[in-house]
Amino acid sequence: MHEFSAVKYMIDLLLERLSQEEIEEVVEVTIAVGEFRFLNLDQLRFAYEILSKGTILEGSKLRIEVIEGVIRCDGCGYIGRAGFFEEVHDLVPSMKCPECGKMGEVVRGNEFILRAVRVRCRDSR
Amino acid sequence: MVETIKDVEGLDIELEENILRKNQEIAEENRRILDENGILCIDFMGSVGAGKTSVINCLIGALKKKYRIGVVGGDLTTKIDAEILASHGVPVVQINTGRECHLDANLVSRALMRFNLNDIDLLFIENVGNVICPAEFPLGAHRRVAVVSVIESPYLIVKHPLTFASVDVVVLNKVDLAEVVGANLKGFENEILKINPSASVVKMSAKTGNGVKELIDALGI
Repeated sequence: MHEFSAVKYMIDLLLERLSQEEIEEVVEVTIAVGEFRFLNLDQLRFAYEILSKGTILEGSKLRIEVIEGVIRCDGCGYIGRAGFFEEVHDLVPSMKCPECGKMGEVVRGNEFILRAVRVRCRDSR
Repeated sequence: MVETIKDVEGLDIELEENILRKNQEIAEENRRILDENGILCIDFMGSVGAGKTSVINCLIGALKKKYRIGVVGGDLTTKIDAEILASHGVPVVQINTGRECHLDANLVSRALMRFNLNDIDLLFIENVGNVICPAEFPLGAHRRVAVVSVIESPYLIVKHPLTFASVDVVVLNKVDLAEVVGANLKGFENEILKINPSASVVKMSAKTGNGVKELIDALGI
């Protein structure tokens, strides 16, 4: 949820970082989204398309990497994937330890990271 | 860290920036301030009408002689809930978000500044009525509670797995009405434990006070 706010934050951050460069065109922006994050990828793309209009990001491609969720079980020491809540929906990741069934702590998978941006500069031709 | 690589097609600027770090940082700072002042803080979320205010009201009634309690209330508009809770004589700060459907760490950090934190042992935060969005915005609280009323849909839990996976305690409220509506309490409990085997499930009627002792135990107060 709140994909629009999330993308707005991302665009603000990106425009701030790019303001120091002599940019002619932004080609591609890469972000990474953790599996446990409540962000729908289609809606992120849609939000990006709308919110990038009128900025130097307009027309650029958005590449999304998914960071796989990893849990740590304080019960049995398992560290790794926890699968999905298949009985609920195949897209919803579980936090239950696959070995002993206890609730795990999220070690990885809550990220929302601006990884990189590919640009054409005025002096790079 | 900015690393630049020049190639024929363009310039790659590597950023590796955590976009939502601001809320996380503020939530961590809120927690640090609470810990510094010896305050146990509990965040209550749940649908509109589930009974968050009533549950907090009940807890204050049971605990106010032993603990100095403060409340932060979150709603889009009105001070209605804050006034109900303030009638106990405890300090209450109401946050009206106007439009936002959840509290965030920034709003809570500003509310914390309105208390004399030296005079508080226990802080209850009543989140905006919403069983989805608050789950994604940590406030810095020590515990998170979901309040579900048994007259809500029996499918509420399975439709919101990430929410119920993220809480420590689930209150099944309005149990006094369970028979009237044919609610299956065991069914609700099983659904919760299927998604979150670590959650404590407390059956309660905030109206009658039945179950409040179990809730106090479950919260570790």
